[in-house]
Order: sequence, then C-alpha cells, then structure tokens
Amino acid sequence: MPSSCFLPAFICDPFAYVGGGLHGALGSNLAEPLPTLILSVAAVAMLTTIIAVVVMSQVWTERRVVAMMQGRIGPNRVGPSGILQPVADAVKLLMKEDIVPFGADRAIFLIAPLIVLVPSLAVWSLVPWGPGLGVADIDVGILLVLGLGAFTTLGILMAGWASSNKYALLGGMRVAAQLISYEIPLVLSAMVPVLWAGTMSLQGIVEAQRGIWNIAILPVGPVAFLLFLTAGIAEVNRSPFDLAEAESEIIAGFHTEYSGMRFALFFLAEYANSFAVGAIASVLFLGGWLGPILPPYVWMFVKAYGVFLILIWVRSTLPRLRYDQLMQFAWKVALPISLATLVITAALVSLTQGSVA
Amino acid sequence: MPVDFLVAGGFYTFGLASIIGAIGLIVARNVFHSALFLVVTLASVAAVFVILGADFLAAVQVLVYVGAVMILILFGLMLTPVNLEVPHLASAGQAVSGVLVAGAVFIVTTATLVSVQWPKVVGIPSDAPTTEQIGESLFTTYALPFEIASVLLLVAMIGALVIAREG
Repeated sequence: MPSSCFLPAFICDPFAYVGGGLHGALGSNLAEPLPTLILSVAAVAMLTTIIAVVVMSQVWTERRVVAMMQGRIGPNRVGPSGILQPVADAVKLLMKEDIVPFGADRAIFLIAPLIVLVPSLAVWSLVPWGPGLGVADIDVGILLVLGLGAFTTLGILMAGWASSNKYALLGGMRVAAQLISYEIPLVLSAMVPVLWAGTMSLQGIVEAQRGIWNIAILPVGPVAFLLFLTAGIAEVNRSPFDLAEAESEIIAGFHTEYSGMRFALFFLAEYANSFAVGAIASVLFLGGWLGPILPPYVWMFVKAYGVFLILIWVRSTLPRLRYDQLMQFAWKVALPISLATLVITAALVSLTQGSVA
Repeated sequence: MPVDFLVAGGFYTFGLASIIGAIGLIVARNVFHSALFLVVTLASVAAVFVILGADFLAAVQVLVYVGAVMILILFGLMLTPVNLEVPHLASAGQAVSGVLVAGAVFIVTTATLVSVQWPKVVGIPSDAPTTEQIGESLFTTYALPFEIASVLLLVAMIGALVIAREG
C-alpha cells in the first residue's frame, strides 16, 4: 500500500483489491498459470473499455475547450453541456457505410486501421497507474513504448499507400518523414529520466522520483520535458505538426478514403495516443502516480489529462508549420538540444550519484 | 495447461509466423507487399526474443527494425504504383546461378547449425532483466568490437552525407 494514501484499501487500490480476491477465488479451482492468464485477459478487456470512455471524454473536452478559446460555444445539444455528443458521433459512424475505394489494395486498406489502433491501445497496458498497478511492468518498458509508436506509423503508411489516392499517399509520406525525424529527439529526451533513474522500467522511473520530480532537475529537466512534449505532439500528428492531415493542403491526408467505423478507428487511435503521450510524459517527468492524499491512479490520471490539456492549448494557439520548417526544427534545433541535454545529464549523474567508476 | 506449454506454443507460433513472412517476402509479386511480409518476419522474431527471455533485444528489434529500417524502406516504396507487379526479368543463367548461391548458403548455414555444440537450456527461459548484462559485456568484454561497429556506422553515415551532397 502506498504510504501517501489514508483512505480504505478498496479506494486506494481497487484493482489490486478486486484482482487479488478474484485471483484467490480462481486459484482455488484452477492450476497456474490459468488464473493469471484469465485475469490478464480481463485486465486488457477492462483497459480497452476504459480507453474508449477516456477517448470520448477527450473528444468532448477538446471540442469544448477549443470552442471556449475561440469564443464559440461548441457542442451543447446532446446531453447536458453536450457531454453525450461523442456517443452520438460514434453511433453515427458505426452506422455509416464502410467504403473501400475502387483500385485500392483491399486487404491492406482493411487492416491498416487495426495496425494503427492496436499499438496505441497496447501502450496503455504499459502505463503504471500506481505502485504495482498496471497490466504489465517490464524491464524495458520505455523502449517498448517508443517501439510500439513505430507500428502506428507503419499502419498510417499502409493506409496512405493502399488508398490509391495521391492525397492519401502524400499524407502517408509526410507521416513517415516526420516520424523518422521526431523519433530521435523523442527517444533521446526520454533517455534523460532513464539515466537519472538507472532503469528503463516505467515503475522504476516513477519510484526514482520520490524525492524530486524529473522536470525539476535543473538544468536538464525542463528542457527534456519540453523536447519530449514537442516530439510527442509530432509523433501523434497533432497540430501544429498535423501536416499528415493538413486539410487545407491534402484534404484529410492518409485517411481521406476512409469512412464509417474504420475512420473512427483512426480517430480513436489518435486520441488514445494523445492521452498515452500525456501519461508517458507524466511518468517520465512529472512523478507519475506520486502525489499526496489522493489514490495513485487518480494522480496519474490527473497528470496525464493535464498534459493532454496542454496539447489542446498548443493546438488552438499555434498555426500549422510548413513542411520544411518542421524538418528544419527537428534536425537543426531539437536534435542538437536533445543530444546536449543527454550529455549534460550523463555528466550530472556521474557527478552526483557517483555510479560511474 | 503448464507454463512451458504456453512458452513452447508461443515459440512455435511466432517461429512459424516469421517463416511464413519470409516466404511471403520472396513469393509476393508486389514490392510493397514484400516489405509488409518483412515486417511480419521482423516482428515475429521480436516476439520469439521475448519468449526466450531476451527482453532488451526484443524492444530494440522493434524500435530499430520496425521503427526505423522498415519505415524507411516503405517510404522509398511509397512511390511505386499500387498495382505494380515485379516483371520476370531474370534470365535462365541468372536463375541457375541464383539457385547455386542460395543452395550454397543453405548448406553452409545448416552445416554450422548442426555441427555446433549448442548449450542445452532446460525448462522455461529466465525472465530476468537482460539490459544490465548486455551493457556490462558491451563495455567490458566486447568493448573493441563495439567500438569498431560504432566507427563503421559513423563512416557509413558520413559516406551517405558525402554522396548526398555530391548528388
């Protein structure tokens, strides 16, 4: 139990409370590893449901907040304050026809949205929600999180190519170039907390921030956090880095030809990824689930959602970059700064922690 | 259902998937499809690494091969038309020499695999973290090969830059 939580056990850590009970009940009837296996599947199913609900809340939040910032009202018809608008949208998309354009590469066109969606859901299973609370805590957690992002790129490339549409193709190529470029500052800035904590496990990185959050480690913390956030926004193709779907230039980019539920899957993946960027940024720099009084999973959620709100803020503030500006920023600004940050961090670690012989 | 049944099942499933991907890579007449089959193979190999307890290797495999190498290959292939089929360009002489080379590689690889005394591992592979061990051996026992590989990569990178500037 976390020492910071003074509430009853089933509020502090309801998942461990219920999960432990279920594991005991199943364990008395079935041999290992069946109980663990069943509970893992149950945890994944529950997580998928949670993601769908969180994404709906994100869509609503984004539309309302952007409207507020632009002096509009935003969706306010379905339910109180329009809170059921995402549900109505999802139902509408579910009932639309699923069109496969003539001349498209059918098989690839159909599986591309899944290749985009599955990794963005899988990232959530690596997020630590509290001490020992999470679907999987693996030793190379942060590496796998970054690697899974690559599958999303792959799916977008497949979608862009299989659509047999020049705007989709252009969108796909922009994504590929952008992601290759921004993956480097993303990985390098994520290595700063890894160096500081001496582990790549996400739980380990959170634990290492008990004294001081990584963002507060001067001078590297804030720089690495901003770099991670910038590269993260580029990785999830959000404004101002949303050239892949720049509607004023290339219609809707890689998902121009998609309709109905497959379009919705791209949408779902984008929001799931945005939240995941918030969650990973919180884990790496903002102390993850650490925090007073409230249960750890609440802190984790609040921080991740806070970072997502920053993404909304950035989106409604900054205009979209031009393509050459985007590349220039990645290679001539972000990359040198992230390399320098990494070197300074390594020096700091060897000076203060004395772990280097 | 014991744990080693799961391990063996996963190993053979992903092993088979990687072989199917490799065959598909050769057989597919469309270069984009070939590249996607290669992704299947590389990702399955990463899954096999996970099952064998090499977690760091698996994550790096995904990050480097799927995340960088494949994306670049696909980026290059994006400009091929959707319905482009690779024509049969090879002449009879090329086919014969191709079979000979492939056969020679197959024989040498098989001979090596069969003749080497592989260490016998019994039971479930350990899921102990491997990152630290890999780091230790890279910077102590294998420091020289590691440095040579780094210099080689640096040379390749500078070479690519030089070619790009001239072109």
